[in-house]
Amino acid sequence: MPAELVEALKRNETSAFERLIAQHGAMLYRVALRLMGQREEAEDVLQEALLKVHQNIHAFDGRAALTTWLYRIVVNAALMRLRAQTRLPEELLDTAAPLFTDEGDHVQEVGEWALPPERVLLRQEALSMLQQGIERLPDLYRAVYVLAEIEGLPYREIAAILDLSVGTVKTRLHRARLFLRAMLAGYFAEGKGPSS
Amino acid sequence: MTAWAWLAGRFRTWFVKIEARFRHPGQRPGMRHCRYVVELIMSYLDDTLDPVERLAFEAHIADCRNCWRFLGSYRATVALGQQLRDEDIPSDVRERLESFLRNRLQRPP
Repeated sequence: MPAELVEALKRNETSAFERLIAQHGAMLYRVALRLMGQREEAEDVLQEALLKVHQNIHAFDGRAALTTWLYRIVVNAALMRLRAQTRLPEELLDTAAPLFTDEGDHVQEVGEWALPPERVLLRQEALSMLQQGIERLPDLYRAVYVLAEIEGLPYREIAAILDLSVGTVKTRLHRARLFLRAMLAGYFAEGKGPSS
Repeated sequence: MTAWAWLAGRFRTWFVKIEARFRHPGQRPGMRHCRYVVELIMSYLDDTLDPVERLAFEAHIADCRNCWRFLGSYRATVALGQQLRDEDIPSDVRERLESFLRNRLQRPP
């Protein structure tokens, strides 16, 4: 039970922190890994986040769900580290957006994507390319993308975690997807990718 | 796309158009530009478009090869991202974290 776990954490019981890692460690690790891109950095972020949990659990009043609170701590720890790194400027996301004529039609023909499901190695390659794309996203776009696409959280919860409006969450997710789609297009599109 | 899938898509287009004409007389389905359709893709996949917009969206998609392909590639991007959900915490990372916390908790405040 989350309430029972919170009370045990407040009593600083070692077993409670072990339970916390057993129950929520995978989700916290996934978020840290996808935000940071490197396993070592993800581990450092997790250490910082757990330390924050230890220091601030007394202030946790249960108004938000424990998982929402944990997500917020790990995302903030990751964003603090990411601020020191150079990322793609936000306006460059628009260069990956599809182009339209004045009439609003596609300028170029859109290629059909093809990747037979049995080609597991190629799928791994595509996933690795996707991860590279995620790492190029501006920080807040990446945070929205990771929480929405990888964690599958509802927009409302993501908005609460990142202190954004639901509309901003949706816009950022859509733009992040368009950017990643454009990055993957050369790989999947007919006649260009290794699947052809 | 197989011939059957293409044929099924064409039938669906006709039905969507006919249904829209009866339900919303005076409004043309398929009136959206590609730009607008791309803007609405996320709402379409989230199933949050209102019925009129949804019909117009589907009518356009069924008629426009570029938007049909764009929708397919957008869906594939989403599906690929969701495959990253399977990551679990490695056992060595878990052990190091537990050991880190034990050390911190044993320190005097």
